Amino acid sequence: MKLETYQQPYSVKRLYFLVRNRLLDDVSPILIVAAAFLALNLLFLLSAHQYSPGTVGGWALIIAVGGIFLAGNGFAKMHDGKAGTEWLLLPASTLEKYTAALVMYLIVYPVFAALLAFLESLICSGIGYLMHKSSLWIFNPFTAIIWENYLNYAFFVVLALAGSARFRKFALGKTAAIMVSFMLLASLLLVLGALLLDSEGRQILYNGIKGHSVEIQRPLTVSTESSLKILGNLFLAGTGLFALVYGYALVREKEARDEVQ
Amino acid sequence: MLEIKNLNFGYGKQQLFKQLSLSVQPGQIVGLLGLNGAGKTSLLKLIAGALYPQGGEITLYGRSTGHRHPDVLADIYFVPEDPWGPALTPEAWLDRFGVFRPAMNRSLFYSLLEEFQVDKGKLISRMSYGQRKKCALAQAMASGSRLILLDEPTNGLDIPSKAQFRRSLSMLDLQETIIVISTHQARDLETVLDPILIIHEGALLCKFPAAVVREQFSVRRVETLEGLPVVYAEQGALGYQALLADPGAGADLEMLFTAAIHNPEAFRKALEKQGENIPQEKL
Repeated sequence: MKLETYQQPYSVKRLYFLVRNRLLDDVSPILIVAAAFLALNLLFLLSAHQYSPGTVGGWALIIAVGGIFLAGNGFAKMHDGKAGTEWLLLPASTLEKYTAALVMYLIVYPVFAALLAFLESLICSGIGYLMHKSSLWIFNPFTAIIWENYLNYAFFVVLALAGSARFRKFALGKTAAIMVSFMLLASLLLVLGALLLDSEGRQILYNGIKGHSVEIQRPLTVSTESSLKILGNLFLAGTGLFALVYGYALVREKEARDEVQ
Repeated sequence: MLEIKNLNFGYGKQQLFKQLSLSVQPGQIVGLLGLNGAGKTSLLKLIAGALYPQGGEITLYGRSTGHRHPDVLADIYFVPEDPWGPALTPEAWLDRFGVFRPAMNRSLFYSLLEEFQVDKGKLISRMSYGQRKKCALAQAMASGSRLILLDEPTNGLDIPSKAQFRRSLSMLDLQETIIVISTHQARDLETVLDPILIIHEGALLCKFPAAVVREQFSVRRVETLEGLPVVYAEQGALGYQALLADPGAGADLEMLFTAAIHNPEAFRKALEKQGENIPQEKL
């Protein structure tokens, strides 16, 4: 790398090397899973009389789960007693290291995995067509359902990365547990808020229900479809943004405190 | 130039460094000595930027190391006592991580691997502790960084490898480089370390040139200590092994270190008496 490049506080070239290194680290598990998936499909293809290759949504879901799982281990090296110090002291800025993880799991991985899915579906569908005369179906990553759900995938990736930056072990499980607890709390607050907006609801809240269960049968004005959609989007955007900033702050503040002395 | 000013650092309630200050000039191979738990590794990690100081400042050629700016990080190479062994060959390591260091000298890296007899086609993760360490030392020395921090570099090396390591230091251009070596194996490295820094109880106990060890102290076996300029003595079956503040046959760095830790005041006085006036602000 040229001297001028490494004097820059943010360098695209360093970002490229960081993303390349991440891809090289992750390529083996991705290929192993892809090979296992292909083997299962072929087994199914050979043993069944009819072959159904599945749906775009199904294949995309598998890709998304893989990406979230990888992102959930995205900063595992940073917590490692030996590799962690090396990771922290690698001559690249924190922002570059964090962006590299985002680029990897939001862009590079989905493209790479989609390409693998395309090839696998081509192989399986081709063999299925030759063997069972089943319809020729190929995974098309440009299908609308993929683009419509990309932001949901990005939301979970950002959460998984923040969890990976926060937790040393079982990062994905712990992040999921926190999210579930957070959503339960948010739901509780939403119900409480909805009751406060309703006159009968307020009465129940202030006077108590004296041992009887009360059912409010009329629809609450806040629960219209558009309100729920706005609330949902606000939740996704707010939580995603928070996770993004929180994850970065954790990486920025990380120190090599393990195995000291 | 490496400069540490009023450094404060600790773990929880345990304060490790209190207002520690020191400076190191380029071209020096500094020996950092201290008891177990004195904070040698922590100090190296603080200098490298892997730990954040709780007070004070650490600068390398005028730039703070704690900000982890890429070009400052590229100017520092830290080799821990037990280096990380990735599942990569040394060659692959160079392609993956060497690219982040613009001054990396690839031919020197290969020469050092040859000198250390490290197989460049073998995965680092499958190497023995000593081989892994030699590979990490080659990475550090070829990095082109102006500050190289080595934590116990001779631990785990066999006897010929220790000599190889000492020889390899001569392969470096030390004009602009500062090498800080933290070690308990003072005898392995006493011919290359200059100056010597001893840290004790959160502060710099003393800093003295290597010539002091050779020229201004002597170790003698004596029956009685009376009338002798004794700095430190160990009693044995046949009398005393005494470190004397007296130019003579030269002393041993390990004995000097023990003397400094055992009775810091007496050691400081002996140093001053021998003409090595250590400024108070550096203590």
